[in-house]
Amino acid sequence: MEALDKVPGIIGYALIKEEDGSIEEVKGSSTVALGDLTAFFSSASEVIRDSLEIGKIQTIALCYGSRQLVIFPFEEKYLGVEVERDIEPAAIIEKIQASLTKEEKPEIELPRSISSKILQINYLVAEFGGDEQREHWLELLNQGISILGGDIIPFIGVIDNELAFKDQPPEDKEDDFVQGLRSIIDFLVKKAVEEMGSSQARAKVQAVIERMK
Amino acid sequence: MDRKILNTFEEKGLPCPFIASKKGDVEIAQSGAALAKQVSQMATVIFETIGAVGDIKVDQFEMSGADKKLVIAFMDDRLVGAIFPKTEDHDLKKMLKLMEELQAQASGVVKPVEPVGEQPEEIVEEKQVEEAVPAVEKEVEEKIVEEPEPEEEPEVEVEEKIKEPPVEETRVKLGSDVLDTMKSTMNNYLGDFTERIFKNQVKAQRINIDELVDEDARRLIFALGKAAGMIIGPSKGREMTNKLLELLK
Repeated sequence: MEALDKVPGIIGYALIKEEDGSIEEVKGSSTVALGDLTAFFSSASEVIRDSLEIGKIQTIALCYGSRQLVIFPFEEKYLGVEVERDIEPAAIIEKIQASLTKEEKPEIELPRSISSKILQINYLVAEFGGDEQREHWLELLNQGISILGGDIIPFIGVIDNELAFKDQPPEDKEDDFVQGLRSIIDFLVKKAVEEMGSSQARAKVQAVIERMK
Repeated sequence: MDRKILNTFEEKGLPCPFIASKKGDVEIAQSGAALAKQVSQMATVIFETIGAVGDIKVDQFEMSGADKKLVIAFMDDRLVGAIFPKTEDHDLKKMLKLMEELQAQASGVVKPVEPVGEQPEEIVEEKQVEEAVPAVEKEVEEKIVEEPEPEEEPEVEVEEKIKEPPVEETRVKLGSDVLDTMKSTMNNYLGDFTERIFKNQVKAQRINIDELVDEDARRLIFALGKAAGMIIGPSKGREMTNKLLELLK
């Protein structure tokens, strides 16, 4: 389901097997347990479908706070995607289906202030995680995005093990996005200090500074 | 609620409106009377599912099938909803507006304001945190200055060990100074992360800071505690949550 990583607007997603409700995959930077939520509500919806004779399930949407989870049948599974609340479920499903059938590479031009922060983050993850701990640091990165990203979240995501923009950021959000990315950098550095101690973290940060020059 | 009111909403264009309680009681418009039992079962399934997912406050549920569409809005221990035949074209925004009106009528008389009630059990603090969270670099270029104490506890969800207070039926409006005090408390734990975490969670939880009520404040505090736990560790995150809850007493 790597194609979903590139779809703008998707904050996170979960893939559930229809037959037994087991969670097959969960990705993204959601703060809620998307796997459980998708599994519970798809299963509940099957009961409701039969009881109220709703017919073959097409979409399920549940709203919580500023987000919503859109669930729909996908092959022999249920796919649950978390998006902003104001997005039409049909629109995001259409986007997903388009992304699965054709490879779209939107042209994104990032202001330097934003692209340099993205680069710093990717260098930091590579430096802190190396080859062996890469997954762990990508997980921490997603954690940082989920709590500090704010409005930037629907625009970014981890694609092929690197943080990237999925959509062109609005100009009027540049300052806020830079601030968000800066907070994520602070978060990663704090985690590095906790996990490897200040001197090792400092050395790795220094290596990133050198790479950035 | 009187079925007449539901019938009135049906006449306004809301198809087969109903109200169902957690206990399984159902009031449904005349046209859907035959479905009362099924609606009651559906409500039980929905409430049980929401109970199973725990700390997420689901406020709206839509389910679209090949033959019908079900739309539900939640209000504490009740839900209001409507069942749409798929064959007809509906203006969903208009329908949701009607459901909001129905929700407002269903919530009945505003209850009297009372002091904030029972608070959650105090969590046993493992250690007193005298000092604030170590400062973290503003930018990568800056120097790393401190190394915080290692977190020995496994990373678990903050809410797991915090007992949520029972849902209060009354809503108490809080003074505007509460949020400033909350931020000040948070600052002792989160330092430079405070503003951003606070802003993001207020938005994520759809908190109206101009009309802050205790129930929303509690929800915000638990969300802040969960977010803080990811930065400062679950133990300090819980400690911060408790300090923030104390502000509501």
